[in-house]
Amino acid sequence: MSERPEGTEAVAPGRGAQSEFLVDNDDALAALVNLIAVIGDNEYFLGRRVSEWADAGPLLESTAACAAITQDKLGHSRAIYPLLEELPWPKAPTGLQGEIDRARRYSVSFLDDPLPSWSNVVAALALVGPAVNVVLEAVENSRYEALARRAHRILDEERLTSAYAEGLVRQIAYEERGRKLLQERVNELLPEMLCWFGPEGEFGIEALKAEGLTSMGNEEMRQRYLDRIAPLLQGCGIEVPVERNESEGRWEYGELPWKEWNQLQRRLERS
Amino acid sequence: MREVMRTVTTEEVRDALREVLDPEYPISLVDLGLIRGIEVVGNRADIKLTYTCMGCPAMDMIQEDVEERLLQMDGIDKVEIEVVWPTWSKNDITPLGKKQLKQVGVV
Repeated sequence: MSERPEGTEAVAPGRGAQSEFLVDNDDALAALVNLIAVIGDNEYFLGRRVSEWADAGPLLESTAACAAITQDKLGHSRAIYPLLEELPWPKAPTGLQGEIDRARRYSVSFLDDPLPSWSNVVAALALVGPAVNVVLEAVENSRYEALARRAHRILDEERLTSAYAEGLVRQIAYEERGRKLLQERVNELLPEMLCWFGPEGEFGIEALKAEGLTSMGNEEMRQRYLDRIAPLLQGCGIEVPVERNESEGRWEYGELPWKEWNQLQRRLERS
Repeated sequence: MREVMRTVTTEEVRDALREVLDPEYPISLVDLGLIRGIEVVGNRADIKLTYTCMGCPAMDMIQEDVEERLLQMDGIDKVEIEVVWPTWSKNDITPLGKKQLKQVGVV
């Protein structure tokens, strides 16, 4: 065993340290509870949706990979959810074990129903996964150590999944038919994912930043996300409605559908 | 005469945990680098435990094995397990663990 200090991290699935984390600012605390529910639910539903392809991938290898990714994603949600019980917030959302445990979902609407095609699976892994990872990077040095440690550990485990998801994008986009299908999925999902980081200067995120609970603002996260996904997609011949403004060092993405945006549940309300 | 319960040391607890094997690989939890803290408070053993991955399907099984083995110790009548999430990598496996894994064709 390595000679690292005896751990002080909190909370296990079912058996936690039960140490309460105190935040004086109620706005920051509310945003923190929301952030944890959002990370947990998106990990949970991404795992759940991918699991439904764990006997149906186009190749034996991709089928096996779906099972492995499911195991990771559900494990991440199980590690994140207990934090909701530590925070002194009345009626915090409960963690999910089953899909219908809670009526209100804090996950993107793209994951609401079973993914109907393999191109949906590729899009979910390539667009939802990196978005969650950007938020985890933002809390990796949070002064809420229990969250920071989990974020670090999840990101450590995510490296393989991220590389695999990038490979899937290249694979499906290699042939024209696959590229066309992925294009349709990107058109459907990308606006929701760009909204997902919230409007610039969002009250809750600013409160989290002020309290040292997260390190990035809304726009910084969105730009970081685009840095990650836009070159990959464009390099594979997928049209992405964004443009690099080199003089300002940022991505321009035009109008986003904020009228359909549900800020609490961080999802688009689909009509 | 009043019976005095013996005090167990953390090293004795660690030695006992060397007998608890990972369900997948034939090496102990200690040699796999999963035990991240041991404290003995009176007759209670407080264990900090991690896993090789956050989605480990054998979490409950490992926790039950730890509890069962420690409760066999004279002087321990309660076990508290806290799961912690520091990073885990193959660098956390002890030299003995690496040798044992090599013998069974792993690592």
